[in-house]
Amino acid sequence: MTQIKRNFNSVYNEYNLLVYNVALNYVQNVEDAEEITQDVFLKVHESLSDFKENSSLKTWLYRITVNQSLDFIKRKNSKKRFFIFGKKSQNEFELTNVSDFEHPGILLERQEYAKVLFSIINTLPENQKTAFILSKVDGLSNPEVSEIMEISISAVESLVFRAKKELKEKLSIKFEEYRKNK
Amino acid sequence: MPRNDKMEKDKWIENILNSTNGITQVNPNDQLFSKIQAKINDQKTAENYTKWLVAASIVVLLSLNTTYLIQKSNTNKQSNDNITSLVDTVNNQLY
Repeated sequence: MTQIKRNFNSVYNEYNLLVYNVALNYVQNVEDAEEITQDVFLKVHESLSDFKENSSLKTWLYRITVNQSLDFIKRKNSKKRFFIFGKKSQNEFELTNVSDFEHPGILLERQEYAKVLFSIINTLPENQKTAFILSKVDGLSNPEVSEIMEISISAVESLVFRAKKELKEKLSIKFEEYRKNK
Repeated sequence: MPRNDKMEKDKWIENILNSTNGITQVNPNDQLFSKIQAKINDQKTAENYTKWLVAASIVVLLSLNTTYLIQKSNTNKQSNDNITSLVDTVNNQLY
């Protein structure tokens, strides 16, 4: 077994859970998350010998996964734009909203709340969504998020703050629907 | 908004924002690694095919060029031979 193949196998064994779960938090679909995971590890296999260790392997993998997830969403949305009602759809809610995702890693009693959260997260701008997912859902520290996103720690704090603010505003509106349906 | 309603709303929002607390990692499909290996092998096959195609194209181009140059050289030789024989047969007498 060559050095690179041995390293790739060990990288996969160590990080496949991380990659898969980050992708799952982004796309909220098991099959899509698996597809992204495959794409990530193909990229890793191509680039592992060139990895210069300017950052840690974990940070590097996070970056690739975030980028692949965002690219996947963009590709999916651009297909949807042409296929919803057979014409370009201007309805961002239709395009980006994923409802009814039951994350298998969330406690049963929180599933209903989590469904709402994941649907609303999808309406955030990309940077805010990334910062929120990495910080709040994945539980990374601000320095870790700043290294992955290659922005300053204060920029991360600002993005998370704005993400929460925007989520609260949208949830306030959603609360009215929730109360009517109660 | 009445105070109770506001409290209920704030509580509801807080529950949603905190719903991922304690989230556990989920395992992907067992077959995932095999699928990745299969894609890596497909990529290698495609790369080898491309390399052979490029090599074959270079060989074809070189052959065509060589054939052309040989033919051109033969044509020039033929032409020179013709000129030489013409010179030999022509009467060089100036008068």
